[in-house]
Amino acid sequence: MDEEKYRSRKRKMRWIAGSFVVLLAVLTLGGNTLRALSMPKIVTALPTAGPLEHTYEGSATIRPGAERELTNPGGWKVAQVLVKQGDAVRKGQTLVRYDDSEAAQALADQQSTLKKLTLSLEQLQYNVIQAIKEDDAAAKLTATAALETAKLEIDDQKRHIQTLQADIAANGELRAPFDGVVADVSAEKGAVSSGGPDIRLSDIARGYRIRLPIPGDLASTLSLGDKLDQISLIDDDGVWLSGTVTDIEESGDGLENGDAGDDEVTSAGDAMPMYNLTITLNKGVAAIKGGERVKVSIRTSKGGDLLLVPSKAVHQDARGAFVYTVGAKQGPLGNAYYVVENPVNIVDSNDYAIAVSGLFDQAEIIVDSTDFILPGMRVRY
Amino acid sequence: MRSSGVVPKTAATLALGIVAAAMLLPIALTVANSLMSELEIGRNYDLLDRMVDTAHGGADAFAHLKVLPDWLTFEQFAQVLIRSPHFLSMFWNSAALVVPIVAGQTVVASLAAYAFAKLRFIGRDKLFMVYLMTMLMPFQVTLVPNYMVIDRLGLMNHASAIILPGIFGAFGVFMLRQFMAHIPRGYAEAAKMDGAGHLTIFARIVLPLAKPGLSALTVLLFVDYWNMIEQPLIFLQDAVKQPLSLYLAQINQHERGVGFAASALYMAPMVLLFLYAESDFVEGIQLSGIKG
Repeated sequence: MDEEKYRSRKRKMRWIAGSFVVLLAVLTLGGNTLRALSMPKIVTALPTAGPLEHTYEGSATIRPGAERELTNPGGWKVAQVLVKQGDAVRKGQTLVRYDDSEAAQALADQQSTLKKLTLSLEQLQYNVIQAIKEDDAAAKLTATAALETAKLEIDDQKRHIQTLQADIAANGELRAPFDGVVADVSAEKGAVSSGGPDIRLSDIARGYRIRLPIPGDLASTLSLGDKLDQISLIDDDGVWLSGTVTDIEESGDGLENGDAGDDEVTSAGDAMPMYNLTITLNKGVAAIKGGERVKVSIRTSKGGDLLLVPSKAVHQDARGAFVYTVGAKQGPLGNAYYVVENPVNIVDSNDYAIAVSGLFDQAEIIVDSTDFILPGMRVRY
Repeated sequence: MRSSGVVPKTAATLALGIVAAAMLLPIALTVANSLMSELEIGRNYDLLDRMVDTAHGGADAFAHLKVLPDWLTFEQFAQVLIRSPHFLSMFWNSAALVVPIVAGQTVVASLAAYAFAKLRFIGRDKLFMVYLMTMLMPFQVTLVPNYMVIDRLGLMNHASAIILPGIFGAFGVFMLRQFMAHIPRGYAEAAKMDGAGHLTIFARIVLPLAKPGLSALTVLLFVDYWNMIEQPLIFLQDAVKQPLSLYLAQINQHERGVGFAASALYMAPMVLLFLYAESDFVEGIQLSGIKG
C-alpha cells in the first residue's frame, strides 16, 4: 500500500515538474509574442535621397511693367476728359483738355494792348517829323525818345503774347507721352487738380509683372532670372503664362501691403520671414491688359542629394531636432526592437518632408506609433 | 514509565515544530509576497513608511510580516515570466549548466566511487585523501589557478568553464564512496563467482543498490549548482549566458514584488526535485553518513 502511495506521489511530482517545465518552455517560446502585444506598434520608413521640392500656390494681379503719372501742367480747370481707365492710347493722343478761357482772355487783352501801342506809334512818328521840320532840337529829342520807348513796349508786348500763346498750346491739353494703357483717371470735369496726377498711364512696352509674397524657404530656392511657367489666369483656366523672376526682396515681417490686391496667400510657412517676389511676364500674350488675377504655382527643388524624411517623423525639443529610429538588439530570445533617438540637423523643409543631415541613409525611421514612445522603449512592427 | 515519556515527546515535538515553522517562514513569506501587488509589498516593508509611522506616534516601527495578501494577484509572475525576457533566458541558462554537471558528475563520481569502495589498488586511500582535500578547499582558494587554466584552455565566457570543473567535482565521489562502502562485499563476490566482471558488477549490482545515494547526490548537486554565484560571475562575463542565480542581484529596490516572484520560481525546481526524490534522498543521506 505504501509502495503504491509512494509511486503515486512520484507520478504526481513528475506530472507537476513536467508541467512546470512545459509552462516555462511555452512562455519562453511564446514570450516574444506575448510581450509584443503590450508594446506600441510602429510604422517605419527609410529616408529617401533626392531633391526637396517646394510647392507654393498664391494669387496676384497683373500689373504693367512701368507706369507714368501725368499731372495737370497748368493747374487749370479740367474742361473735358477724353479717356477712361483701361483705354489703350497712342503716343501724342489727347487725354484731357483744360479750360484755357482765362489764358485766352489774357491773350486778347495783351493783343489789344499791342494794337493800341501800334496805333500810338504813328502819332509818335508824326511828332518826330514835325520836330525835324520845325528844327526844334528839344522837341526833336523828346519825340524821338518817345518813339523809341513805344517800339520797345511793342516788342515786350509781342513777347508776352507769344508766351501766352505757347502756354495755351502746352497746357490746354494733356497728351500721352507713349503708347500705353490708362491705368487710372483722377481728373474730373470742371475741377481743379488737387496736386495728384490726373492720369496714370501704363507703359505696355515695358511688359507686365506680378508681385506676390512667398515664404522664406521658397525664396531661398529661387534666384533672379529663374523661369516660372505655372501661372494661369483665374478667370480663364486655359491661358497659361510664363515669366521670369526679376526681383526678390525681404518684406520685413509678414506680408507686404504696398501692392494692394497682390497678396493672397493660400499656403505659406507659419512664422517664416516673407519675401516679395516680382515676376515679369514674358511678352507674347496679347490678351493681357493688366489687372487680371492670376494663380501662381511655384514648384522648385533644392539640392540634388538631400536625405528626406517625412515631416511627421521629425521631433524637436530644447536640444534641437531629432528622429526616432529602430534599433535592433540581439536579445537572448531573438531580436528585440528598441526606440533610438537620433539627433539630426534640419537642412530644409516643405509641408510634408524635411531634409536632414546626420542620419544614416539606411536607418529605419519611426513615422508613427500606436502609443507614446520614448527612447529605449521596446516596440513592435 | 510510558506516561512519563509522553510529556517530553510532546515538548520535543512542539520545539521541533517551532523550529520547523521558523525555517519555513521565509519560504512561506516569499510565496505569499509573490502573490501581492508591489504597492502592498511597499506598504508592508517600506522603510520610509515605517519612519512616517514612527513620526506619527510610532504606532508600528516594524515590517508587517503578512502571509495572506490583501488582494491576490499574479501580476508579479506576469512581470517575471512575460514582460521580462531575462528571467526565462537565465532559467534555461541555469538548466543548461546544471543538468550536464549533475548528469556528468553522477556518472563520473559513481565510477570513481566504485573504484574507491570496491577495488583494491596501491595508494587508494591516499588518493582518496587527496580527493577529500580538494573537496574541503573552498572555491576562493582554487579560484586563481582555476581561472588561469580555464583562460589557457580558451574556455573563458563559455559554459564549459563551469560544466567541466563541475563534472569532475570531488563531492560526488566522496558521497557515493561512503554509500557504496556500506553495500555488503558478499554481493559483488557472489557475482564474481558467477563470472561477472567489474562492469557487470557495477551496472547490475552496485548501481541499483546505490540508487538512494545517487538520488541524494543528484538533489545535493542540483541545489549546489543551481545556487552557484561565484563561478558564473567570474567565468561568464557575457550577461546573456549568465544563470538564474545572478538574476536576483539585478532586481532593484522598486521591484521587490518581482524579486519575490522570481525567488518563488527560482526555488520551484529544487523543491520539486526534492519532493520527487525525498524518500531516496533521506535514505541516501542516512546511509552515506552525510549530514546536511
